[in-house]
Amino acid sequence: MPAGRQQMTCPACHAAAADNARFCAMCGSPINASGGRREARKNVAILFMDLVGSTALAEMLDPESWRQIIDRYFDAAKSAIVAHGGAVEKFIGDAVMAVFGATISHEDDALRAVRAAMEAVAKVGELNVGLIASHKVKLEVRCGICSGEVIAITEPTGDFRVIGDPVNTAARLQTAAEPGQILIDAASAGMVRAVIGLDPVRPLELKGKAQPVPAWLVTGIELPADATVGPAPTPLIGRQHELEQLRSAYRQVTKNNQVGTVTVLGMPGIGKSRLVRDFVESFDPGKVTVLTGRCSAYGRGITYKPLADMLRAWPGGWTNQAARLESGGQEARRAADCLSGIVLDNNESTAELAGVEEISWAVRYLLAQLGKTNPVIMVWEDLHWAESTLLDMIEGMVSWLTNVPVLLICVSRPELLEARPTWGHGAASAPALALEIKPLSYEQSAELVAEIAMHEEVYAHQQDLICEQVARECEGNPLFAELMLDVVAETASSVKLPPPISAVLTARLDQLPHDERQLLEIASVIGRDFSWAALRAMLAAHDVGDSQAQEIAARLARRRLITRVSSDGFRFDHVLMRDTAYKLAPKSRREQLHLMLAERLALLVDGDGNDCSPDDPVALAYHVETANLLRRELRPGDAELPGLAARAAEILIGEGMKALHRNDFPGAAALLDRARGLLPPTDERQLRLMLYISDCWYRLSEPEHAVAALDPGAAADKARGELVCAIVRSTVELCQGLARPEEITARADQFAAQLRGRQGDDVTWCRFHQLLGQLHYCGDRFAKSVAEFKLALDRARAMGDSYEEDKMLGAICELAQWSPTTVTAGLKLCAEMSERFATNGAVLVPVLLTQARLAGLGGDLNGARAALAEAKAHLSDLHLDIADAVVLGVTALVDALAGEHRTAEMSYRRCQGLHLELGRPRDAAAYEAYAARELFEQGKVHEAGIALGRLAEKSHVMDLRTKVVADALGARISAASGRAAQVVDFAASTAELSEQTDDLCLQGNSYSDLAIVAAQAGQQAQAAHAAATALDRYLAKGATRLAVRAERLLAILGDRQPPERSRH
Amino acid sequence: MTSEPQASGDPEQYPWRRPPRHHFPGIPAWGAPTATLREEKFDVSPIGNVTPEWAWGGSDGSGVKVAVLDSGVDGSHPMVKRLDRSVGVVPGDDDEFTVVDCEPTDAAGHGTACAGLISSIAPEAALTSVRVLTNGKHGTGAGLISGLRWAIDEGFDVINMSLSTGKPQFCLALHELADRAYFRRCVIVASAHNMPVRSYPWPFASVISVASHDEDDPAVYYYNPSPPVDFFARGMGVEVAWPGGAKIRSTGNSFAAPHITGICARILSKHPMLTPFQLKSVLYLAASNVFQPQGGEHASQ
Repeated sequence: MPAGRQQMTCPACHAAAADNARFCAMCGSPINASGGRREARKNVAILFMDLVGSTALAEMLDPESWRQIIDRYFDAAKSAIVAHGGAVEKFIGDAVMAVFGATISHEDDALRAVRAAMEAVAKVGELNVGLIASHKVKLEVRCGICSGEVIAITEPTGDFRVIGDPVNTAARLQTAAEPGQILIDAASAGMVRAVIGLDPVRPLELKGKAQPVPAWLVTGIELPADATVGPAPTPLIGRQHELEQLRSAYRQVTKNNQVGTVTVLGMPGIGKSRLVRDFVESFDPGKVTVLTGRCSAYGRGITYKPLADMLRAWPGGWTNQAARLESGGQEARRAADCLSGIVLDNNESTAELAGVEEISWAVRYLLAQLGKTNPVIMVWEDLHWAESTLLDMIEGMVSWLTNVPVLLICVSRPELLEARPTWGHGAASAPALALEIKPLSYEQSAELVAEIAMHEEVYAHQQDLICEQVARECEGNPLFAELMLDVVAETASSVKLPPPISAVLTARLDQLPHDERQLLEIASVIGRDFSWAALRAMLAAHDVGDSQAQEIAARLARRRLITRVSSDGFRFDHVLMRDTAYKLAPKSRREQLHLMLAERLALLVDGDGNDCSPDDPVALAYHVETANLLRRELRPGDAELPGLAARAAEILIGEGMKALHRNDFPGAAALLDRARGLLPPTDERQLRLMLYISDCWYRLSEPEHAVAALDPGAAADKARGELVCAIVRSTVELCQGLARPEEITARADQFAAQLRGRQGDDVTWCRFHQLLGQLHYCGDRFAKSVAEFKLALDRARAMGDSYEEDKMLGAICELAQWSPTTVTAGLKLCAEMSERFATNGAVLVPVLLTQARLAGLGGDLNGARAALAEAKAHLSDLHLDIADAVVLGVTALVDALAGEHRTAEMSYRRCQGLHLELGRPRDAAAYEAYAARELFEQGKVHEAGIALGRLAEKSHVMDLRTKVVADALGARISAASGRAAQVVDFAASTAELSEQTDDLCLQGNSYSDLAIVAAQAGQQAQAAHAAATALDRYLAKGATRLAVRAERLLAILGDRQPPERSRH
Repeated sequence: MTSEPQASGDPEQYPWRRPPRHHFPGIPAWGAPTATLREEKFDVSPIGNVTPEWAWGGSDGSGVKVAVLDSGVDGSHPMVKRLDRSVGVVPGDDDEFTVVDCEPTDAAGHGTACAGLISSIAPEAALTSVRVLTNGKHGTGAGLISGLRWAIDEGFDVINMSLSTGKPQFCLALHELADRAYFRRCVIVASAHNMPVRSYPWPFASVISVASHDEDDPAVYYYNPSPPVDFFARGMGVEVAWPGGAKIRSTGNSFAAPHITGICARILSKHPMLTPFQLKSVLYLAASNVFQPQGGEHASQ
């Protein structure tokens, strides 16, 4: 293909076609099979170039002279652009806009644009030499280049337009450049920095851009492009077998004195050149002649460029070698002249170039001469870009050269076999090996990533997600791994696809015929794995028949882009290829395809169920949702939902509620949130879903998220939405200790006033009763709390909300621990709830804990431990921090009841720590008090005193119960230290304080402590009375374990001074 | 139950901490004239029928000294129960590192996480933080070697190393130190690398190497029949201490090793005279996939 024009190519055979051709001259296929205009998302490089100060020049000069000058400037610019494969999109005044990659993408479009700009600047400089002499003027240009995604619209005639942000950015960069400068954007810089010298400049404030744009100045220095020069950047990993095959081929060539070929095939970046480099460097340069040449994607004198490379890099210099040959007779002189012509060709004119046959002969002659002294290894790099003339020449060497030890190593991407399927089968006599370089295994990738990324000597073994992600996602491709790590290092962000990889993949997709690309586009919307049935149905809707579809898929499989993984399943070989194909499809097209897939799935799901898989409903929801998101991106003002949105929302709500009942709170919150996005804002369900989402966050111990999830707009009636949100926010703040109970009580009064006219609003009332229930709970008024939760339960049942119903039942059951309900009645309730929640471990745990506590109080310690063990077993499957802490608290209580005070103390301490970490200082203070109590029970009076002293500093977070526990303990400690008389009144007031709660056990404990303190103070009557009161309270609760203690206390007191009733 | 001997005497006079006597006249080197020489007394922790209950039941790690070779430990974190001492390696004049006392802080978080996990299993074990990761989550090979040598010479019972070096030049020195630790009854618990690559010291036979399983139970660990990793313990999505009193969920073999370190501390607290080779056996016998509850009690009745 002649270089430097946007060329039409045949979609079937890739042959070049004339601009206006409708059929391919080579194979007869229609060109532009789509028949009309094609729109595609493309990654392109845009170049803007402008003359500086042209208005002043135009004023100075005669219009005729100015026109001549302008024409020469345009010619210079255009020829530079075309020479590098770009196309001029338009001339605007004195400015030129060019696009690289508009019709066919190349992986190096950015590089082409930069080189074109450099050449144009240089040409204008040459122009100036004449202009200064003839017109006394000097032209100056400035350039801006930006790479990125645009929509390219290609007309059947080959005309095209591009639209997108890179166009504007390139224009702005150009304006910001000084005369003679080329400014490029970050994406372009990423793609050219390995080759072109760049200097970063201060990020530019560009007109119309919100953020400063990072930019680089092209310094014009071309860095060595050849990867085989310089130190090895990365180690060669996992290629021992391939190296051995190369060595074996070389041994055969030298042993049999013949020409052999090894074709090294593989994806870009897979490590072909790296392998060959390791191989050739293992030889002593004095004993083997190694010649290396590289094909280019474009340029002048392109055909024999790799040969020219080889000759120019000749050991000792080509001029010397040529001189030596010329002295060797007529044939030798002929060969030397011919080859020297090739070396010169790249610099000078092409006038003296020898014929193709002549060159082939000369190369063979040279090799035959060289082979007489040493074996020769010729490395042909990037042979997929070779002109067929060069491929013919290489095949000719294999056929015609005999009795010379020459190993030809042909390094190429797999496309070489598409262009020349018979490659490597040239001569039966010569050994030919095709060496396919496969992706590295995960282990090998990991080793490589570790080698590249881990420079330090010693590392902690915390998971390095970046390294692992790169190892996993680099597709076993060392170049990708390196580029991905570079991106991470430079941007310190998560792994994104680096522009150079994207460019390689885009270029590969662009080379495909329309039908293959269409298939990949559809498949990419389905996913990396796609079923044949789905694909076939989608293709049928695009008028592609079954057999045709099979044939296209077979072609793609041959190209190793997709693989059949089961009778009905295909998958993209590389997930990056899927992502690229998806990204390149215009969004409107993706939206359309997602909806088509959703409709198809809806038919399957609604059908007899035979063809439907369990994943289909979720997939249906996904496609509708994605289509909806794309619609919002494309048309932000369009609030309409896709036709299947209601359907998809129902599926998501169903899945979300399942997750909620499983207590999978993160999953439920995500699913329900997605469902909300697919429901109209006015939908009735919005409000409840919003509340569930907030609940999920609350249950995850993330109160900030729980409050943030509250959205008054979820209710059609705004006042209602605001009221229910305020109620839930108050509940969260109360339970987290973020607001004082008095404050919440005041708010509750306001809520009650607002609710008066809303009797029918079950949702809000249900939440309101929950708030009141929590308020009473915080005040240790458990009977009232139960009453409120029962009212909430009625509301939940009235609105048929089984989630709220279960929540209320669980809360009522839990409250039985502290409320005046008897142990027996409480245990009966637990049994009922255990049955109801038998299949739901997470809801069961609080029930089991209640059961354990009640059983312990009732004296059934084995029953208590059994319930605890069951609770722990359920917890091991769940990840509920708060539940862990609560289990520990109940375990400690049971241990304390069993008299194991040391164990109980340690458990309470851990409880305290856990609650502190969970941000619940109030609960932590309670457990701290219990732990101090257990110290005292062990007889460690002094330590208990110290612990109590520490607790006193936290009086501001203490609730009523903790204060009662702490004060009673304080009285006991003082009494035990011989100051009983001084603290009797204090103990009595503490017992009185406990009456403010309706927790019978807490009251019993306080009176029991008062009895002991009074007895130690010698006030026997008060002691006996207190002990009797304690016994009374314990018996009312049915806490027999504690009642036994109270009876014992009463008996001891009776021995000293028998109470009156036992005298008879 | 047999009563366990308490460790007695001056630890520095334990036979395994003395310079070895390698020559008796008339006997080949390293041998001993057992026919004439009175047998030296040493304490033994008898091994009975090993069950998890026998191995560590009721033990809280008290009396066991654990070194955490890491990034430092935040001593004020509520999850870190007993931090006795904090030291760190500092570069000296001649590429040699010295060990000096330092503040109980942790800039990187990794050491605090490991210490918190050890405390969660063995709350009474006495922890010493040895900061060898001097640069956040990485450090130098020379620093690691200095810190490890110091910890072995100090006579710690268990050393937790949730780190490694991939540089082969440190392999030999680490190997020698691991052997020295083994002979001095200092157990090194080392976590395996998180990626399938070679690094040191975890693959050495003289250390106890640990990688992760994917269960969320701190008490469950498995013996791995396919070396070089010895055991699998909890290491994925583990809730760990983080500087500033915080907690995060994190993943890595780093967090599996402290579980085994904690269990080792509890075993050694109960059976102080176990040798490293016995300890590994006990760990093996009590592992969740090796230990079979006999059920004998119920079956025979």
